[in-house]
Amino acid sequence: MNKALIIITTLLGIILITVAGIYNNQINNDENANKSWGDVEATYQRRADLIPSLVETVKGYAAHEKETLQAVTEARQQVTNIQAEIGTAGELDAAAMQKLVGAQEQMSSALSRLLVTVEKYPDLKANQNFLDLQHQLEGTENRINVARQRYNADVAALNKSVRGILGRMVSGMSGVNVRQSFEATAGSEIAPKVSFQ
Amino acid sequence: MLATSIFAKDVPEPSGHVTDLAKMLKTNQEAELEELLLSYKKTTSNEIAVLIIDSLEGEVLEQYSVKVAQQWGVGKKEKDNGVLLLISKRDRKIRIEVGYGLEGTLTDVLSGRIVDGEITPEFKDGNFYEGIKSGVDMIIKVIDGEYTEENVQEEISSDVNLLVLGACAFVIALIGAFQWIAGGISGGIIGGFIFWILFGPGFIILGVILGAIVGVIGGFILRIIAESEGGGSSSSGSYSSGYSSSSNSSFGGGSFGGGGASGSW
Repeated sequence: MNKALIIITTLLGIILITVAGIYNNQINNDENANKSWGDVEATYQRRADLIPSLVETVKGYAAHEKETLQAVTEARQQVTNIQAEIGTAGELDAAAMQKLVGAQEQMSSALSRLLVTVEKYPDLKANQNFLDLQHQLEGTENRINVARQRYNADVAALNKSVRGILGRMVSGMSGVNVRQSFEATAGSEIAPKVSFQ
Repeated sequence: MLATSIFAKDVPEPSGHVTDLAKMLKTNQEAELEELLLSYKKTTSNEIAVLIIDSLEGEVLEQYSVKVAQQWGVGKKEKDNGVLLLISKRDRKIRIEVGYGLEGTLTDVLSGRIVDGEITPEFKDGNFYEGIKSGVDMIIKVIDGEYTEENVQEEISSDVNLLVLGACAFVIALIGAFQWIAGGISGGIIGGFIFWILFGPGFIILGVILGAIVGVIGGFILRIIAESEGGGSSSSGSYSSGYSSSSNSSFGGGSFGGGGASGSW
């Protein structure tokens, strides 16, 4: 009688501990994903913050490039709009992610077009201000890449812990759901080429 | 957003602060740099590493650089105060990778200026040692003052503490498993002693109480586990110190976010 009680208690204990372990793991993964999503948003914001100075500096030397400058400013506005629309929810569904990525990638291509245009203006290229901004932009782009990669890794870990057999059962309790990762939109790896006559 | 190539280049083993895999530096030059960076670490806790590779083998400079820096764990874990200077000889590329903790001082702009102004000109003239040396000197000048000797003194090696506590707790519990009174007493004594050494005389009583509790309750738990397995005491394998250090380098486990600057010559 005593032995049986001990065995049952131990079994229940093991089940409880296992479920608690899975639950906690999911919560951890969720928090990690939240944190790395925060990094993604922060790095995107960092880039958006650089744009006004960049536009001003380029304007000083290349006022004729109105269209290119305009495109950059508009792309930035679009990013801000989408951000407001989506809000700062940590969990974005596929559609919202698509919008956000789309706006950011438009920003990226407007920027690279601008930088290509700058090649025509040696004075601008030699300007210390511009050189500094260029370093900052490169640094920001790199941070964005790193942040996205890390977010994807966290999302992969999270999804794994929520989609397994046991994970599914527990995720009802923990409220942790599958998340959307970043997927490159087709063709975004190829920088737009502009040729000069 | 580039996917990682399946031909991704491996992260090499670091050999001290300066790892020269492309034989860009003479032995005495490497030794001088090593000495400089080692003593810099000792006085400021900032970790600067230099890696010279022969070729990136197709990998993107920035991706490889942050991979190496992160895996090596350059910089102290709590401070993320690390910098990696990566040079790829055949690609003729340079990058300064800055850890989270130093991004505020060694900004992208400053990193960029160091690459452009200090390192690249020398490299263009074929003066590799001079380029690296002046780059490192400038990096040091920029980040100096961020951390002082006081901060370094305050570091109690928390890793060792945890290990010691864990081991003692287990031994006490074992004693308690055999005889709970003995467990309680030995726990109290050992606990008080350990807490006195690690935290100071004010913590003796706390140590005694905690030690006794661990002895009695820990012993009780171990007993139940032992009895339900029908015999022999189990050496509780669940006792992991929970400590993962960064690979096998002598760096502190600092993290990187992608800040820094690249250049080429």
